Amino acid sequence: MSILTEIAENVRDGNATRVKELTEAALNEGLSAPQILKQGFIDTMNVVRKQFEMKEIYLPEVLLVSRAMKVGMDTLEPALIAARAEPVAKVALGTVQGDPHIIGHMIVGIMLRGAGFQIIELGGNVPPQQFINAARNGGAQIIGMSCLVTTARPSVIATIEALEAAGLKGKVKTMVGGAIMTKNYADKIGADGYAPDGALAVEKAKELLKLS
Amino acid sequence: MTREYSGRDRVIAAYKREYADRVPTAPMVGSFNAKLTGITIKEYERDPAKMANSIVKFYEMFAPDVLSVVGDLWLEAEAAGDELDFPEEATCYIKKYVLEEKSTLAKLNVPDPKRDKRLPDYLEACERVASAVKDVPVAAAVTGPCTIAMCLRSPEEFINDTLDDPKFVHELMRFTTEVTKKFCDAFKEIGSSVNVGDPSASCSCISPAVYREFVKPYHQEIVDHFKQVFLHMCGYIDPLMEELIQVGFNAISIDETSSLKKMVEISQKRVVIFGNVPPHLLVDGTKAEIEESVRQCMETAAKDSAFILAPGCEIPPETPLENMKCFMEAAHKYGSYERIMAL
Repeated sequence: MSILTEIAENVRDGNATRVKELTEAALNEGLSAPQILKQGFIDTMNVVRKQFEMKEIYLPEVLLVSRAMKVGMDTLEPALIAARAEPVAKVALGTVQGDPHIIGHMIVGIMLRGAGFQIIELGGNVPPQQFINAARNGGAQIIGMSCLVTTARPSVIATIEALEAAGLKGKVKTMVGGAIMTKNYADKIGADGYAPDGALAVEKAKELLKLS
Repeated sequence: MTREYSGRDRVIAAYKREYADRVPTAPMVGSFNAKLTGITIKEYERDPAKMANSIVKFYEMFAPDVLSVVGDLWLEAEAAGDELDFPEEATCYIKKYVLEEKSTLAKLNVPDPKRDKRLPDYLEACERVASAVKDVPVAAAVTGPCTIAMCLRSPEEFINDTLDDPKFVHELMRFTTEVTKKFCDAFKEIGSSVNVGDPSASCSCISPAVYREFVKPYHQEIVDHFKQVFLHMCGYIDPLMEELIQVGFNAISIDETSSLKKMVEISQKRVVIFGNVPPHLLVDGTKAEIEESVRQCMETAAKDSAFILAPGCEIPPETPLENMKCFMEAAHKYGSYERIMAL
């Protein structure tokens, strides 16, 4: 079995320690970091994402896989930087002001990382200006806003308005999601995209940035 | 059909698999009620007399067949040691999880519903409502053990624990099951039915495998102890439907994410089903959309009784009054005896 297949299997099984060992071994063997990233991690996460979307696996399995994925990608990072490998794109993720629930957008983050995106993690209860800063100073090409309670929906609108006031609307894309979000509402408030779960968020993000 | 039916009559008929003049309607509402008596959400959550008054006002304005007494999901977790924040005009939330360290579990005490934090206030609100309103069942809800566990430990750490430290998860579930049972006992003492809400046990949060290993035995214990238990589980529960029925809940309330059609097919009238109009429709849907959703629920589930029309989850506080009115009117229209008999 090739080392890359072994990495992929251990990511899938959530064996974080083994993934770290194998990733280091693959780099020592002279395999390129981008190749290890693609065949060891991204291809695996494509499968995991599809299974999550089809409800063949659930949150606990995704968290298990993500821990192994994170360890592997952290191990790869210095080599990726040395190889000048760029992430697919940068996405700032947070739950809007007035809403502290974070696990929803964390799942989106896991799925996006698994597809090669770089995530700027903003946490919960995030004021509009912090999203704007992530775009303006942090280089985020997409602002992803999670909103789980209807009382925090005004914060989503406020963030989109702040983006416009900063002259970034259209240049930086906005995505929304969360239990009380709907496509209709997202369209109404002028968000560029909506996705009902973390798996479909990846497809939407790629579509918004015109990536394959 | 000439006799006058009360909400209680309609609910009893549904449970008996019989008929009244129409399908009963149970609009689950919580802090929505605050605006009916001009109080803030914070006042609603923290003052039992004000909470009770606004709930009674809801009854007077909208004539539900089941009157829900719903505060927030964190009453028990707060009483067990979580720190909460109470915004003036938004639902309260957890600021600090008491079980950041697993070892803290050994120091926690099962809250006393008559003494600790807001539990006695909630009991008081229920008693006040029940003494003011006699014609319909008054439905309070106790948070289920899985949700309390996630509220004490944080959802992510709880799921990590199921992977890394199953022994701890069982210890934690043992504790939270005692919390739920003790609170349910207090409700039985004041003459209320036993209603449990356990959204964190749905497959939107955990997997069927995690449910079976870490939650099912504790749900079983609660049902074996109290015999007649209503369960509300928001989130996706299609993979768990058969098992929840086998555990023995006698009524199951489902969310919009779950399939009402599947629940009806699997149940075969073994349980009374509540559900499942999407709550967000009442916030920003059109009247036509609200009516259509109600009509579809009735068409899917109302034939042969054992069905109570309800929203998939709590109707949010920002719901306009006219949408609530539209929901109730649609329920009366599409749930009439004549329409159900024609299904």
